[in-house]
Amino acid sequence: MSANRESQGFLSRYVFSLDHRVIGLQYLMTAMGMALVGGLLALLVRIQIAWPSHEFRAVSRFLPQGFDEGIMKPEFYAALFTMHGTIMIFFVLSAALIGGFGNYLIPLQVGAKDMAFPRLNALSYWIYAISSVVILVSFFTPSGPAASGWTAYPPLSALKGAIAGSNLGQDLWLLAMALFIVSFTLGGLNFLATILAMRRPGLLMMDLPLFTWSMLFASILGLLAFPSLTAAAMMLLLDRHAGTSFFIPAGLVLSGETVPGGGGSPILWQHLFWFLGHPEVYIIMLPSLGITSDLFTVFTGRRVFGYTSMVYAMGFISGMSFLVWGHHMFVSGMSPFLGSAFAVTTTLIAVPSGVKVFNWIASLWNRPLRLTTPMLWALGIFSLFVTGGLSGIWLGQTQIDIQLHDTAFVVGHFHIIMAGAALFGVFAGVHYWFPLFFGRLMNERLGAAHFLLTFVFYYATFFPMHLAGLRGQVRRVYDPYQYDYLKPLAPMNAFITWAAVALAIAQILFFVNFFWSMRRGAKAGVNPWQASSLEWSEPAAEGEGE
Amino acid sequence: MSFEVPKNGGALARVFALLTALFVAWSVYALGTNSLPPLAADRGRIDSAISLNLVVSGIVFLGAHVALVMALLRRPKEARIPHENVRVEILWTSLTAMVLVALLVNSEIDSRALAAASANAGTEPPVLVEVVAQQFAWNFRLPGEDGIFGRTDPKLVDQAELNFIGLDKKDPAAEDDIILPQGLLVLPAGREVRVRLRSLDVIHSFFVAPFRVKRDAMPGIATEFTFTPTVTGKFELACAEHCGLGHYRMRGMVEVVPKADWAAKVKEATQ
Repeated sequence: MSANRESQGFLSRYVFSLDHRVIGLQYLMTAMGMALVGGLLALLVRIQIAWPSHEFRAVSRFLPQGFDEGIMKPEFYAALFTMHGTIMIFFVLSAALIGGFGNYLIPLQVGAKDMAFPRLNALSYWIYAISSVVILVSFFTPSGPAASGWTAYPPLSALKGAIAGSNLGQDLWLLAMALFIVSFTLGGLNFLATILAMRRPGLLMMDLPLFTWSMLFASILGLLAFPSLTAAAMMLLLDRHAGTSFFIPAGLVLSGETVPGGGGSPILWQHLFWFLGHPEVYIIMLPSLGITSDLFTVFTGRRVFGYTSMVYAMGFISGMSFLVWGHHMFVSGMSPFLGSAFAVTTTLIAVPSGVKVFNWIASLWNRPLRLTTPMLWALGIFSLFVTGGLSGIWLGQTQIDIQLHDTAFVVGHFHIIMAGAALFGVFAGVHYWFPLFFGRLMNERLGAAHFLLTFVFYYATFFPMHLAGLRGQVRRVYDPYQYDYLKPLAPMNAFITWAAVALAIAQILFFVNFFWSMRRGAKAGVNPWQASSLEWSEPAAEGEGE
Repeated sequence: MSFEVPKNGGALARVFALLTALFVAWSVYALGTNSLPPLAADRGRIDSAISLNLVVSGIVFLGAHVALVMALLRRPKEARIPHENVRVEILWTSLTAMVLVALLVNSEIDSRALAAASANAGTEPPVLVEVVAQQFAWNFRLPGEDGIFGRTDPKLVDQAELNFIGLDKKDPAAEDDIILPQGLLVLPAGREVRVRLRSLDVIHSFFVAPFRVKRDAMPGIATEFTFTPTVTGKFELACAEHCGLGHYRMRGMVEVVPKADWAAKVKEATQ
């Protein structure tokens, strides 16, 4: 520690810092905290599905409005899966991968001193922090948090009488989303400016690590896709409070009462939402794919196979991701011709994904792999990307989607491809860049154990969901066993829940490793992985400035 | 280096390879022993498409994971494959594209066929059914002898009078409309059914797993679809779109009876 640093004061150094490294870590730490909340919600959802009407005496004390005599209320169950999805997708995965790794690494990987606009960057973090607080506060409103699903389909999300969560909770949800989008837009502009304009002289675009490329594409996707949700959120707020009917058709009758207004279309929300929603999937997928490719370069001793085609594949996936949103709406009753068009674009987007898989196989083939913990996570991503990509091809075919849409199959699919690959990307990145963050290495043995347990229990949790979906289990149901034909699935659902509990327990290893290694881990020195990208050419954080 | 890095073929690689192999074997077994509910309508195309996809994606899934296991277990001394090969890359890109286009064409053919009227529809007129979803119940209406659904008006909805869909009883076309009891739909086996689906409040979704039928009930829009039940029996109707706190108990029953008994069964149900 230099005297110079101490004189800056704790607040300006660690809290209101303009340093991209500090901001990156702020994002990462906040996202880790939010992940604990999101994970707890998921466990409650799973326990309810496996053992409906189980008593939660302990939890009910904290959130009395969600429980009745210790038994979860159905509307609270809806709030749980709504908030789990929202928190995990936006406040955990987007925040950790884009805000965390993006801020920390982009300037280092392009050889810039800091982001193009450091103040904007700090502002972006603080707006994200405020939006996290808003989403958490919504749990403690009298009518509970939003409960219309993370997709917030109106009229359910528009009419206050439709579900308890569609009161103040839904307003706070919309406010939190609006703030998150502002934060993301500021960050995205900054990333673009930094990558395009602040590269070290002589550093060509085609020399950049694939992680930086993925950040470039993710920023472009965010900047172009999020405005659609901003507009939709404003329209929904107006429908809720100003008497407009963007999403409310004429002649609705809710609990026997005629709903005023009319002339709007609930399907319009779906178009606007998924115009963001689908690119958002790639916003959190691309960084993971970029990290995987870069780790294959570092830990196989040779550049990843087909670097150039990897860049093109990411670019093509990004462009196409704007044209596939309708595949979320195959059974909405929209024109079958529109369905065909979206089936074509969905097929097209699968081609570059196939290219990536082939390139990765070629990168692993006949090369001496160094099985460090980051490399294990990268290999895990390879497996998840194959498994989840294949089930995605099923769902992209309109006739199969009729049967599987809105079933547990879809839940299994997106948890493996989008949530899983992104989450594994966070773990890969944390283990890999930990020496940059804290000057020390994370413990490899603990890391390997954490990886193997997570790999096994992740599949044990999410693979059987495909089977439940094939057998007709619909998603988002508080008690599946209201249906006779789902009663035989009770043992399978209990198995999934036990696997989810084991998955959660395995994560303790990560947190132990993270905080222990921060202070006690082996000293990393410069470039412990013998990587060739620019971020490793500078001294690690510990030795900096000495 | 302050730590020892495991390489391919070491203990860690073997454990990881074994776990991967176990997962692959288990998933293939699980997919082989879990299947769709028995088919009870003329929509076997969906079952065939799923079988076809199981085979195609099964091959890719196995291939990729065998490659992963082998990469973990082999002990090459140095990288022997170049890091770029345009011809190979063009080859596998076109291979991927060809398989995907074949699946797409198959899916388009199936979807057109599933949307069209059923093949044996020539002899008998289709059975028309209106399905009106509401929180948290299903309403079913048959048009009666005139084949025309009478007018409805949301202002006429009166739950106390059991007029859940707001039927205008002054409309002559409404006189012979048959309103089935909430949650029970009676259909004849072997006749084409044309459903007109709408919703009174929020989005619901009409899903009968054995029929391979799912369609959202979108408020403000009436959409139509068709299928032919082929097996008699009772089949559960589920709501597949999150529609509120009672979504999980929005259960209905579709009773499929022999053609000859249908009229009598409908009469029995409405009494």
